[in-house]
Amino acid sequence: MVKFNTICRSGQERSTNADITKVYRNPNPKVHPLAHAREYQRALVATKVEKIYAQPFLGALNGHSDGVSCIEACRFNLSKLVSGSYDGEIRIWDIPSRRTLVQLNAHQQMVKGVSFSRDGMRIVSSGEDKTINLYDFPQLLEQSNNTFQDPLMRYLSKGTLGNVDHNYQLSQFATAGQVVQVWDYERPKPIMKFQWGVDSVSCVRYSPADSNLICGTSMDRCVILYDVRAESAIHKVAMLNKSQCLAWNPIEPLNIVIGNDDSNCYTYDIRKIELPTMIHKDHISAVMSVAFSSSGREFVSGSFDRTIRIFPFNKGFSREVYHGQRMQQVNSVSFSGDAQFVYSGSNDMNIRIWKVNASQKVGIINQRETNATNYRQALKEKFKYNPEIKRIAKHRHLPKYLMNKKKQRQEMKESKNRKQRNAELNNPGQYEAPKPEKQQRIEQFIQ
Amino acid sequence: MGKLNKEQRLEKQLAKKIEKQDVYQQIKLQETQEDDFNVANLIQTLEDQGQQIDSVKTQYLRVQEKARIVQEPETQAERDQQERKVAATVMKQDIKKWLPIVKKNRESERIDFTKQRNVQISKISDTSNALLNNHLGVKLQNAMEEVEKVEQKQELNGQSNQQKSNLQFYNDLKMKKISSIKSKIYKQIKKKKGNKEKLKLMAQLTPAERRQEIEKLRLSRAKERITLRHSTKNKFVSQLLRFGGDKKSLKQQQSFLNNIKHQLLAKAQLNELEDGEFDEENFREQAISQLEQELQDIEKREKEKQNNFGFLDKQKKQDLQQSKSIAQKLLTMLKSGNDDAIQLDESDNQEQNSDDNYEPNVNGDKDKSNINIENNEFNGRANFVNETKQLTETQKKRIDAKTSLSNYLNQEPEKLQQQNKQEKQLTIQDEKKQLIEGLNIKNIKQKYEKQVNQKLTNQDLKKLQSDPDELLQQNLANFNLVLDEDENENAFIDEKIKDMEEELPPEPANTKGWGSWAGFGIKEKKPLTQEQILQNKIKKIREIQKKRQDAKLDNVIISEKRDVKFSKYLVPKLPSEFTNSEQFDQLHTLPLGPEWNSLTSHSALTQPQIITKAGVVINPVKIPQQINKLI
Repeated sequence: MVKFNTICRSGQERSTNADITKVYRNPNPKVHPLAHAREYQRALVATKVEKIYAQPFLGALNGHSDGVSCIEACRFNLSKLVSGSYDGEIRIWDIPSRRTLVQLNAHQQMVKGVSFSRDGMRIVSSGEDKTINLYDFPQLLEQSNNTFQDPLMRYLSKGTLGNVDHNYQLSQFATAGQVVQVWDYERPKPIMKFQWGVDSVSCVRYSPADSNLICGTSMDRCVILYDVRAESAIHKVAMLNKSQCLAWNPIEPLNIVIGNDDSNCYTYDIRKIELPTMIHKDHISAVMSVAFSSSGREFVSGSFDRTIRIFPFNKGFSREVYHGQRMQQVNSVSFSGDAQFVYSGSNDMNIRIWKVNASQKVGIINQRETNATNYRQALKEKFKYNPEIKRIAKHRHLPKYLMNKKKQRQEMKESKNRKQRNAELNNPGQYEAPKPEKQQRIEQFIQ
Repeated sequence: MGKLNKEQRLEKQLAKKIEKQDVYQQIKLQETQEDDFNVANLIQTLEDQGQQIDSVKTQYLRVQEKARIVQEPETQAERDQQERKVAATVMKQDIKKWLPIVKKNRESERIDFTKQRNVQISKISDTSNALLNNHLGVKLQNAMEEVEKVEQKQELNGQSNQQKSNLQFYNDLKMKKISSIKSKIYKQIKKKKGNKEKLKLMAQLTPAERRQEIEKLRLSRAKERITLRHSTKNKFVSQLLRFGGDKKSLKQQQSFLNNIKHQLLAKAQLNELEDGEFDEENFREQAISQLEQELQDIEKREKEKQNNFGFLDKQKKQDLQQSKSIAQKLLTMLKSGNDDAIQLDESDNQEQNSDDNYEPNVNGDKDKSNINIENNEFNGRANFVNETKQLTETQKKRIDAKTSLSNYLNQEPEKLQQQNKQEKQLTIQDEKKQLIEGLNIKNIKQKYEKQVNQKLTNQDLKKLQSDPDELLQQNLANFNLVLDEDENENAFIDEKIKDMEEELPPEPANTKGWGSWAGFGIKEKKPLTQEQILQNKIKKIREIQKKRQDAKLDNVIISEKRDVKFSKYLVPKLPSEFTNSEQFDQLHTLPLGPEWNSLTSHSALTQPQIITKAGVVINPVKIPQQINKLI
């Protein structure tokens, strides 16, 4: 046994307070052979922790006496939300306090669409009763007790109406319906009408960046692009199933996302609308509503299968799925202006508030905490291809009906492919190579 | 027919004439008097030529036809399609302005949406577009633009601001350093300076004010004296009051004291054990008898047969002679009873130690320190402790590890026993130590040392005297295992074969009838004999042996099994985003953590791709004003 008298200096022996001993590290990877293993372990823990702390549901806004048909978050004020229901009622909500600010009996029949102006001063609503109401938002708040407030303007449409969307820059709004109409505040009649074919248009949306472009989805399974400056539409593409909803990417105003009845979402580039650039799969029933995050990197979709899914704008599969035991078919979804929350209006008369990142803390987060979360996210991103981490991150608990349906669809798909393959093998030369799926979904492109 | 023909001809000629006139008139209408060069003139020249007028006429008719086609009304569908085409081209042109922005966003490493202006004064006025045309609207817009300009300037000035803040930070640091200077002279100078300045200030004041100032100072001092806050609240003072000194130093002191206590206690226990039966005279007698027996032993060994190796014998001889001389010296000393002589011998021993190859410095140091401590504390016993040490050291020299081992191996066990019986307790101990240390076998050494340290109290020593071989034989058994090379080699080969056998594919179950055809006229295969099976197995093993990395290395087994534990860090398939594995490996070369990066690079590496913040509204993309003007 050998005993050494080691030289040691206590940390307190400093000449000045500013004389902080610096620790110099050697960055040579040979000196840190366990760095990778340690980071892997951290990434694993991070993914597990994220799972544990995932609590996406924040609360519900209840008050409607019928299913919620449409909602939209204010484009200017983060705390305000407007919603319309099947009984013609419009409610304006204060989200932080979760109570109705204004309750209006706006329409005699179902409310088809509601929309805020960009400055948050005007609300437009369209109903099945062929009327469009324009409200002054501050005035509504002033007389919040009066449920029968008269609108600032009431416009009458000749044909039936679909949804309504306010222009982002001008004091104009567009309505879907038998005819696509563009309205101005000051004029009782539409300043522009577009009709192409017999069937009506179910949904129209203004481009958030360009005040002239409108995109619509029609009942004859088409996606149509309009330019307000021209007298007719630009072009349309006919798909195999009809689409109910669409949303523009606010950061990349070339791209639109369409929610289709075949339970998929499609991304189109309006420069080449002949083919979708991407198919987003995961829903098992018709997509009723889509909304883009204001960051342009994600979009949310509400479906008839009673779930909400969040898709990355450039991925084929969803990142997140939200469902509730009591949540029924989702009719409408909306993103908050700061890209942090998602609102969903469903047939069960409730509007629900969800977090975009399920495990994110709500409230004030200090710098240390943000740094730690950033590091965790970076680790997860680094190790996302690792099988174990991938498995844990990917796993989502789904209700039984969804799981069964998913399995069934998978089986159907596999058997179809098998059949195709067998047919090709047994009859060589008779079958052509199958078309790509994107092409299969498109029926016709009309210029 | 002829008449008709004539009439037709006439009609045609008339028509021609009329047409000519018409054409002429039309052209005449177009011509102006100012121009010298016009169509009428041209046609006049043609008329003069006579025949070419017809071709001109046909050309004219063709043009008219075309004009008619252009002026013809279109169908609604056709018109719509044309409009759509025009609209599409316009839209495509218009959209192009977004392309650079989209491209930039897609290619940028991160997009920070938190830097956007939160409140945007809307361009949609409260009532309508009309406001935009008003002065107010224009003014508002201008004001907004000015604000934007100012903000842009501020961003540009950001760098200079940072420099200023850096300077301030360094200044603060400097002041801190100055404030923490401890030298008295500096403080005195500082105090003097301060006093001078104060005096200057006081001189400027009126006498009444001066009195007030002095009274204030007195008051503050008095307050200080009363409360003594500054002294009691100080960290040093509070610790002094609580622990009687600095907390850390106190702990260190305590631990030091404890250590000394434990050491003393341990020593005291040892002494108690020895004290019970310890007699100086007895011990001296024992030692003398030991030395005498040792001398006898040395003589015996000198008479023994020599080994085949000359150098070993030489060494042996030298060792024996040295030990003999030392033992004789010691004997004389012990018999005479001179303490001084012993001390002299110590120094000799130390010198010899330094010559020794076997951990000389450490031993020497140890001895010195031990002697010093014991001289200080236990003066009476110092001699005997030293004596025992010397004895052991002499024997260390005498018995080298190699020689002793060879002795043991050469001698018959009976001889060994006899010899051991003759040897005394202490010699046995040291010989064992030598054996073990010479071979440097760690585990056995530790085990052995424990036995030596723990069990060999005086009672145990007595037991050992009766049968001293037990311990030694136990340990020798271990040595034999290691030393028996043939056995070891065989075991190693067996292990290697076993390893190869494990690699063999599992043999199919040899059930009768399985894996063979059945029916009439089929010959039954004879089942393989045990020998055949063995031979097959050996063949397979040889094949495997050829493939192995350690095929030509007799004393090495290289395990080629893949470590399953490591697989969790690997990705089974190259992800589709990457074209090759090197590209993918690039992901993992750089660790992200703060332990392996500087703090700045760590934060830069872990920044998310898109930065959003709750409460900051993200506006739709906008074309910058400069580009908009160009458009």
